[in-house]
Amino acid sequence: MRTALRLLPAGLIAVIALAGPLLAPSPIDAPVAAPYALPGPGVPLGADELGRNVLSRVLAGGRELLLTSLVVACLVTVAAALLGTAAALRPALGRIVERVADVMILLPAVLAVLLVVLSWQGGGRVALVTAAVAVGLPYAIRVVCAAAAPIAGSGYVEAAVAGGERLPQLVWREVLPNLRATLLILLGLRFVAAVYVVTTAAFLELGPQPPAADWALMVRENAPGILLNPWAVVVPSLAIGVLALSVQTAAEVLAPRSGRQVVARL
Amino acid sequence: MAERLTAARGPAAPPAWRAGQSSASGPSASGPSASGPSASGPSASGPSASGPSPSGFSASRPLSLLLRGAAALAQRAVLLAVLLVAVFAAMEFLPGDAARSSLDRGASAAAVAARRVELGLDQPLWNRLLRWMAGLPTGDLGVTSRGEQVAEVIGRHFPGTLLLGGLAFAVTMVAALALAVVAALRPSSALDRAISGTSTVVAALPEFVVASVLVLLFALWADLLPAVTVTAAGGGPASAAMLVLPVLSLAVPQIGWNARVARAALADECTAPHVEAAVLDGLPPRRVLLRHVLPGSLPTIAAGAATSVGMLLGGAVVVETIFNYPGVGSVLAGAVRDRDTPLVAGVVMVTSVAILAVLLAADLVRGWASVRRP
Amino acid sequence: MTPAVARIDELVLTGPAGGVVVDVPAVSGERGAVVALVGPSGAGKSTALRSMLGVLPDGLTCRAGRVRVLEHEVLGLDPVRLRRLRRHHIALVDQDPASRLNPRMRVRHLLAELAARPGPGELRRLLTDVCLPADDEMLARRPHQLSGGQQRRLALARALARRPDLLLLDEPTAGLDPSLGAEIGLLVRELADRHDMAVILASHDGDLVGRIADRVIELRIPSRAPVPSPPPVAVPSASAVPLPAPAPPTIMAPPPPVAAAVPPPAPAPTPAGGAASRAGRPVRAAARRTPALIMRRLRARTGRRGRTILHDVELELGAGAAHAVIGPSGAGKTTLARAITGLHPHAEGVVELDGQPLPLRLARRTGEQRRLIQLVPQDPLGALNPVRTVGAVLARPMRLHRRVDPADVPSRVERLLADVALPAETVTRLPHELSGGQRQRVALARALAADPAVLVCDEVTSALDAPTAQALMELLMRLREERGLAVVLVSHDLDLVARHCDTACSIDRGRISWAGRAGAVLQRG
Repeated sequence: MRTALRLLPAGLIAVIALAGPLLAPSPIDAPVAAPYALPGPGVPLGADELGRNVLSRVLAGGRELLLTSLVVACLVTVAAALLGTAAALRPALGRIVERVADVMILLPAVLAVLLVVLSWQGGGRVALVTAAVAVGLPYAIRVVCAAAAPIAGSGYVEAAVAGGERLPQLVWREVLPNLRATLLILLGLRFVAAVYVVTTAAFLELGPQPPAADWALMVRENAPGILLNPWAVVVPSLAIGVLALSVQTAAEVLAPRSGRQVVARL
Repeated sequence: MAERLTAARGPAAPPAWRAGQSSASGPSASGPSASGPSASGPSASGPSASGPSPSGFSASRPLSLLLRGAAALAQRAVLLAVLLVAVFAAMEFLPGDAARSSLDRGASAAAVAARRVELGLDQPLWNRLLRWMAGLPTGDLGVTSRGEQVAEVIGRHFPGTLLLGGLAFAVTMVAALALAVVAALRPSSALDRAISGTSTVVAALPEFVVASVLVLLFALWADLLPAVTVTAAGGGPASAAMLVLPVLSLAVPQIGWNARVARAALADECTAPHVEAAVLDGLPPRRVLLRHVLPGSLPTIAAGAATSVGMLLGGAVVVETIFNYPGVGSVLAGAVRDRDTPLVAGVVMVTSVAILAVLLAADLVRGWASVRRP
Repeated sequence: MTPAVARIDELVLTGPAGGVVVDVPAVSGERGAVVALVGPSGAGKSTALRSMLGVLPDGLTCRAGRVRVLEHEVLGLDPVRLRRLRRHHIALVDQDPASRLNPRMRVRHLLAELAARPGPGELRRLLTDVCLPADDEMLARRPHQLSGGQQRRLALARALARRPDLLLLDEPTAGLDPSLGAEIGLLVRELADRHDMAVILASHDGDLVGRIADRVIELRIPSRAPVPSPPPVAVPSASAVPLPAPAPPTIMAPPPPVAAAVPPPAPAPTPAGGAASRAGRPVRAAARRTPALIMRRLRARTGRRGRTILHDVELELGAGAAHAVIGPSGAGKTTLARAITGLHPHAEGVVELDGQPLPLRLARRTGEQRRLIQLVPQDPLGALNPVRTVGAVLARPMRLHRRVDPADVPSRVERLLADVALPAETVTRLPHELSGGQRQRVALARALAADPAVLVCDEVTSALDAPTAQALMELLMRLREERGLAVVLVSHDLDLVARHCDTACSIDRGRISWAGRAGAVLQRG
């Protein structure tokens, strides 16, 4: 029961973000009221800088963000699961990962995304996803590697190694099945990180271009009129926060308790 | 060991690998063939009473610390060079180039070619990279595609960013440590849970979300602080009050993150036997926390702080945009769009050097706080 | 008689299931008297000491407890007064003082933070009291710059610093060599007399107790706790393995046909039959004529330029022979086992298998070479993958090494389970559903599934109780005879070694310190 309760926000916001565009009461790019109009009949959250319906735009503005973040989080987690486990089993690979992560720590994530997206003109969402994955991967690998290290040293992996198993089999059959909880929580954490990168990029106008509806872009566009209609800024801001938090909570709830213990040490 | 984090955030993710040990002996060292359970450790041959020889322990410590510091510095410098090469290569291999982007759209092919020669773009990548690096020791960071000295452009804009980031860092560390210590003094009390919960929430928020809420609260409704930075004649913000909201916007998510790291590090250290002994000795809770718990958790806290620096400098780009703050953010956006490799490399370099400095400081803290076990 | 500084009238603690775990008899301590608590481990000696500090172990419930120290009922005392009591009147010196000294603080501060009157004179007096050099150099040291004995003295000085009325000592001489232990004992006695303290100590050390204690109180393990029963002496002629599982009829059947279908590269000697094997030695001696495994000048280091942890180890054993490796923990036994299987990356020397030189690094060994040497790891390290069923675990080596026609794998798994005397339904079980003995049998069966020539067993019985260990060893030895396996058995259980192995060697600090017949290990001093 409590579990269901803690899963609820994630489900709710996911449904809103995915189905929102269909629920929007008015078109997202047509003015329906005066610019920055306060909430009134037909416009429950007021209007934005161009008099467009804020509710419609909020409903429409989450889908791309959600999907992009999800893609990034999944890519990072899957790649980290494979590479991190391999790194735990092969110290030489582990050292390379360490060095790459040491380099990446010198480059702030926002700078890296700026670099890739701006110089990859026409890259669009692919460029953004690439940058976000590249930025998050080294650390995710380190986390998986740290979690896999005790398993890599366990008796059954030793026995499998001595018994003649090769690396892919070790990764796939012996280690990864024991990391399910870790990976689930990692997925949650990477989702939060991906939301951060994707929204920040959108806020810096590196993502969806106007007149597309996007929560981060809405915050930027409507910031000048924040005093006239605060809802146009506050609601998308809250939506971003709730999205990040609820998914992370859901991942934590879904992970088995033993796994939580494991990740707790990370 | 590592901190108990259930929310790692951002690309500068959990510093687990750094906690307590040098980065070289991270997870990789415990692979199956590195040193299994058997190969490790000296032969614990019987519980003999003769411990380490007590002689020859004191004089060499500062020297060895110094040497280790120098080695760490050299290692980090190499990493910086690698990063710069990567940035150069990325700018080279991604489509587009500076000659075209610094000219009008309709410029003729001949004009583009002339521009390329002028900017040195006809030279191979390695030549440009080497030439650029050769200038570094003299402070020569090259010339932007608009003909300005890179060092000058950065010198004009970076101090603002550094001020913003530095203040935010200071606020972050003070607030995070205070919150963590307050929470740790009353474990699993309502206060502890409130602090942990709140820090989880704010740590997950992007800076611009925090900034817009803060602006709404403090600038518009309460009308206490300015929402926009007015640049003074010197290039900095016109008044100190203008710094408050940008610094807070940057610091709040990092306070959340670092408070979690610090709280978990303190909780971990609390399980150490000597801490239990101190409690059973009846020492006052505050003394136990400050003398027995905190020193041991400093390496983890320092590692967490080091990862925050990147987030702060990256977030500064965002916050500068929101508050119209004079910093390196606007320069950087323009430079990347223009494929202005020397300028981008220059910005990356100064940012990296700033991060490097904090990483080294974290290394020093670790070296100081770690105890060489005999 | 002076009033008691501390007294436990009763202390009964129950475990989560409600059973009595600790039942402490009446204990009292008076000024100037040394009281010793003795008894087997698990009887609650440490718990009794700690209860006087107002601490009870996690997970246990206090059914009855009246513990008074200086007229305070310490269990349930309010935190502020409890802290004051601990700070000024009671001191505990714990079992492992080294870990209980803050490694980041200097001796000076370690003492000063507890001293009743901090000042240079007092600190020196404290050091002198515990016979440590009372100079600035000592005051400036950190705990890791002290020897084990010095650390213990420092912990004692820390305890004395507050001038306690009650001094609690938990195993004050554990891990010290006898002469050092005697010194500490005398010191405690003298301090009790001089400072008129009540001293209560818990110790295994009968010598110490006899020398310094005024009164001895014996603690017993509560009768509800299971008392380890002596292992039933197994009769070697009986084929039955003491197991709940019914021993299937295949148990004494000839070796499975796999070995015959795909002959191993070297001719394995015919497995010895039942009668001869019971006689033991002659058959094994004969088997030793063709060494299956030879090691010459085997060295191992901790790292590429690390310390040498194995020095020039030589070993030779034939098919069907069992060789035991014994020695203290940390001597290099497990390293040797790992070096043979190729798991230790920094080894050098010569290892030959059936006359063929074998690369020391696993990565250079061929699949066939890996198959021929199999490792049975010890259970506490997680010998079985927690998410794989027993069936999957056993089928994997057969498929990997293509020793068995895929269609025959299930029947082969079944026969293997029967071989190790496990019921057939074990196939679907996960490791956590099995007992320790059963898990160890599965680990053994997994090694056998690859049809090896050499089996390296690393402390396979260490986590098992005596009857289960006995049964496992009998099983192992029977399988060895049936299959002509050469067995390297790393163990610390001399009894088992003497009873089941042919030859043995002892490793001490990385060197073979003794080698000979296994039967002789018990006679060795």
